[in-house]
Amino acid sequence: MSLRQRLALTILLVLIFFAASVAVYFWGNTQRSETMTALTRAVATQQQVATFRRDVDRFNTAVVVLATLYNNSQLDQAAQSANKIIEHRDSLDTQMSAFLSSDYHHAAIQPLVEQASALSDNWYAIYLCIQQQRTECGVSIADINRQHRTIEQLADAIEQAASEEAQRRSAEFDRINQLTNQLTVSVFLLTLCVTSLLGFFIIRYTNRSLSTLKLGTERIGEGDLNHRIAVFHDDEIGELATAFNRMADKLASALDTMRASQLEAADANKAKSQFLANMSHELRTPLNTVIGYSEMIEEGLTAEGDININEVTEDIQRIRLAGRHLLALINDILDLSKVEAGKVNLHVETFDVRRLLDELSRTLETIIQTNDNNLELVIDDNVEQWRTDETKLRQILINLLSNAGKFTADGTITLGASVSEDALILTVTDTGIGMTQEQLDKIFDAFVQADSSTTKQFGGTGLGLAISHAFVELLNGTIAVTSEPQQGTSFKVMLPNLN
Amino acid sequence: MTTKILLVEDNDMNRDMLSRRLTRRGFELITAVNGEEAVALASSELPNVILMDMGLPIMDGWQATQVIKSSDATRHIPVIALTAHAMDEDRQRASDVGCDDFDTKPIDLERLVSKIEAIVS
Repeated sequence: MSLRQRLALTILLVLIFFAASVAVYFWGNTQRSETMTALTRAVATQQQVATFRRDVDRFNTAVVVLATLYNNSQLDQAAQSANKIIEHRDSLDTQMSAFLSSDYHHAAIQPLVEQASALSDNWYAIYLCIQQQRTECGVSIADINRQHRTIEQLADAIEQAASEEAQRRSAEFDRINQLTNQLTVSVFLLTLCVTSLLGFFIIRYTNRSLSTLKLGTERIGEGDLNHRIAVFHDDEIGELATAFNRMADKLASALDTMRASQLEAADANKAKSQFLANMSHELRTPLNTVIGYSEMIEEGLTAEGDININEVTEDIQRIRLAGRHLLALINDILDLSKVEAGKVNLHVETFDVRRLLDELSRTLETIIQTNDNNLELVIDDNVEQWRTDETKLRQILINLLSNAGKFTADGTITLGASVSEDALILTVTDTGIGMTQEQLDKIFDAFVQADSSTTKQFGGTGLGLAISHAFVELLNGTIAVTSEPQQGTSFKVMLPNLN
Repeated sequence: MTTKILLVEDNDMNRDMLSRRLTRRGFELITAVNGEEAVALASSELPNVILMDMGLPIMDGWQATQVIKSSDATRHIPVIALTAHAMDEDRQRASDVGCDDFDTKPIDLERLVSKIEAIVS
């Protein structure tokens, strides 16, 4: 889980707890208010009933006293007080309508009101009887007392019920209060615990990841590019660690590339020095001949005595040969340096391969026949026009063919040509002295002939194959060689069509 | 008594030239064209000094010198290395295998002769 998600989750949880706490508050309030209303109603009803009952009792006593007075013929007194009965009735009517319109419901209220109405009607009958001074009222005191008792009973029942309800509601109110308090405290404690715990984990996790990251970056920064930061989590810090690791990868590979190119440069430098040393050696050898013979002739000329003309002529020829060799060497060195300096221009043209090979076989016939060798041309039918640098190809083939001629005696040299896929394939195969694997390995290096005696024995500058190799690469081609000692050697040049 | 020199050189012209010039100076010359021949001639002819080319076929000059210098019969024969390699490391290498002196090609005959005479006396 990412750091952002962790933080969002924590905030969400805190909000949920906060909402729960508000909900508990509102729920408690509603419950309390409902209970309070009911409690108030019950208590009010209780008081109302008590008042009503007290009034009925009082009024009824008053009516009974009136009726008794009347019965005992104290007529004036009764008549004076009879109006009070009407007042009582009005007072009761008001109270009864209050009962009926009250929110408090009880089965006994309706009968109570009915009984009270009946009682009130009887009171009225007594009142009319007294007013009209009749002897017979039709309502006995026993009747109204009985009604009064019924009312008392009903009122008792209502009072009782209201009282019970009041007690119940009161208890309920206490309970709700308690519950609300408990809930509020619980939610608070839970919020406290959860947020502390989450906070703790986030801090601990962040600390750990950050310190791993810090240590890792420090190690990478100190140059330990092989160090990788452990990526524990797939989150922002993990991404950061991955980014650092990638950076270290890139740095390491850049460093490797740099070291490799340093080594390459050092190798190239070493090869250059070796080339120079070899060149110095190769130039000094013919120079030694030139200087040595010249000095010797000079000594002969200054010394007294006969000069052997034939001997001197031979020596002068040797000087010329050595000078020629020196010139060939210098030309080859120049050719090779030009290729290496990138100063050789290609002259790409389309030409007839078959014509070139015919020309070559005629040109080189003398050289090849020097050692009693045969030259065979094997050209496939599909060899026709090709597009490359003809002069360079000619030089490559002259080098290969004259080498083959030099190292083969009384054998066959085969110049083959074919076309396969995208390449012109030229092969020069001889049946000469061949080479060992060790010799093959450095065959294309400069100044390396199979062994140094062969230079003396077979001539050449030791640069022909190096130049051929360089030319083939210049023409985007490849050159390969296979050989067995005493079995012969085969060179294979593959050249693409150039644009 | 004439000084007998064994000249080891694989290049025909250089061998011919140097042996003739040294003969004219009154030295007795025997020649070898490779290291193997040189080792054989050194022990059979016991020359007074050996002029050793280093780049030789079959057995090169360094190896031949080592063989000559490790044999009781030929150890005493001074060897002068002759090489067209003019680098310091070649001189060091020649001295490492037991060469007594070192000269580079092209040969300065006067210098070479004085070296031969110095080493023989």
